[in-house]
Amino acid sequence: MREKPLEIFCGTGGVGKTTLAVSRALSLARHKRILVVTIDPAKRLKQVLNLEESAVGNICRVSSKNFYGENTKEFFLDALVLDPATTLRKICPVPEVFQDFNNKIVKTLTRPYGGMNEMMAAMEIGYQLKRKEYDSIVLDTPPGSHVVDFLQASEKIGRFLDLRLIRTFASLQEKAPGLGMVKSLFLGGARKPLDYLGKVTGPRFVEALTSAIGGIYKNRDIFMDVLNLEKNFKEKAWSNWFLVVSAEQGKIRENRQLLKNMAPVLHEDSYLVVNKSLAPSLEKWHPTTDPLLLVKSSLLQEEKTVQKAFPGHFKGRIPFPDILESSPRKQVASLGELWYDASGSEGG
Amino acid sequence: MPRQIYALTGKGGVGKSSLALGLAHRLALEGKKVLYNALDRPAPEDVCRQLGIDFFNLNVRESTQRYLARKLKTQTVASWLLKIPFVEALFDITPSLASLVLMGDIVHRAEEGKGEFHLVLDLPATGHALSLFEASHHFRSILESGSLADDIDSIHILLRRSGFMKVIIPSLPTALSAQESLELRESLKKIHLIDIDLLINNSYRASSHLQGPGNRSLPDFLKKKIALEEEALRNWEGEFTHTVPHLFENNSLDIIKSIATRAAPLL
Repeated sequence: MREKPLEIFCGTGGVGKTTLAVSRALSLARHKRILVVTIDPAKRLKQVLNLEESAVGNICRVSSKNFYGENTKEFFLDALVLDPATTLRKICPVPEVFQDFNNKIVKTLTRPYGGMNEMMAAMEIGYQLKRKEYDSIVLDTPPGSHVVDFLQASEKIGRFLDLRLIRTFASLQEKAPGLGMVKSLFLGGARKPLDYLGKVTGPRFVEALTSAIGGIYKNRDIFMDVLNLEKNFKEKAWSNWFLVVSAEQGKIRENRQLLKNMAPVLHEDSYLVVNKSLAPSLEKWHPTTDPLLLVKSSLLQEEKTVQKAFPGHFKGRIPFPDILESSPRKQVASLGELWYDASGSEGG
Repeated sequence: MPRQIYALTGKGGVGKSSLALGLAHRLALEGKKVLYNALDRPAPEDVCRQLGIDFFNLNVRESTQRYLARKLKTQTVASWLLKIPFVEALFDITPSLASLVLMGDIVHRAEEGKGEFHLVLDLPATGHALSLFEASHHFRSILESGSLADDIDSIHILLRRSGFMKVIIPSLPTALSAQESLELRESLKKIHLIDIDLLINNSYRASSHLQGPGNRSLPDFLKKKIALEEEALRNWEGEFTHTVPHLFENNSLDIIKSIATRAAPLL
């Protein structure tokens, strides 16, 4: 398996995306400069890497000794738990530009659960690609269909920033005559829709919204710049995709839907990762009582269903065993070693 | 005391959907009228039909249009506003607008139908559920006054009213999952949601199949799995009020039926 500048992990929730992404990052970090980024607002990466709450938003250097113990050869891995407000500040070329976003709406919506995670993640990835500090960036994406929000983020932002759109909006004023000229908004128009909006939200909100949009448009080149780079990741030369599924709980229907939604971006270098496999242990077990026979057959059947599902979608299937360890860091360490086998079996 | 809304959220893969359907099925078996909804994600129609659970699907645009039409007292203008490409793009890049609209619609329906039905909500996982619940608070802090601000205030009053909504947070018997449940409960308390049940789902330890007379002959990997569960939950045992075992039924319909027989303590 060829290593790429972007290694993207996606899948439904609870299948071990974060743990596997960190394990992949750890296996790559032995020889390369690696950044692992989590976009999921649930922030499990923090727990897996033992990061402080204050680490959120900032790149943290993590020692391999956290995983392999004190008496091992040390190497480092950078990790980032995404924070929308910090990303916004980062992409501003000078601090003064950030002042343009000193707006009630922008500030509120870029709070940790303000809903902007997927949008700002696209910016962050573009920004990191531009910096060229890393050989690879490993991405832990939000669960299930939210990955689609992330994948469509650059397109949506691009559409929002399209000047033709704002001109059309502004020109609506001409179609709604007889309201009299008041303060001109957005490139001089858009009074009528904003008037209606004001009836529902109150006029102060309209003012705040106008100022927020003004700040964003004024700096539209910064956004376009980072997003141009981020678009690259959809190309084969740039990325490996890993769809993680759990052997324990196939969620076949959900995964089919997810594959359908992702079809426009998935390219040849896509791998199915079947995590938490118990099959090797189950096959060696020969229970004698009925309830235990049911346990075995039930667990094996689910796993077989998962293994056979989604034919034709993937270049390879990579199995990972259920790691029976309580500490997330020990799980990462064990899984990290297994990536070498996975890469080797495909001819490196 | 039965609640008007039962809302399920928690870490991904903890079994929210199966539990939500099991709970809805239970309410239906008790002769209560129940509606299942997963916001703007489509309900699993076939499963709902086979279990006799009524459902509805939401659509952000339709919900927004209904709200605007009610406020502006005109369908035409509401429809026109939402067709403006710039407004569409604005909704696209501001996901919390959709959250606000969907929560508003849900609470409005629940309030209107009080006493006639119960609503079982299958919500997204932790982070996105928090974004959903916090959206109205975020917008309330932006809006100073006006019609929308008043409506948000009444949503908040309803959500806090005893008997209106219970949040159910299932967790897997692992440290990562348990920790996430506890953090989620704390975050919800901060926005004054206090009627919250934490439960353990998918427990091998609680499975009657694994506790029978053959239990002593369990293979090492299953013994280890059970031991890990005990270790993971040792510090938090009192926090989780209920445990649902791992169910070894082989199809989702039987699993949901099995959950329904165990769901009484959650109501």
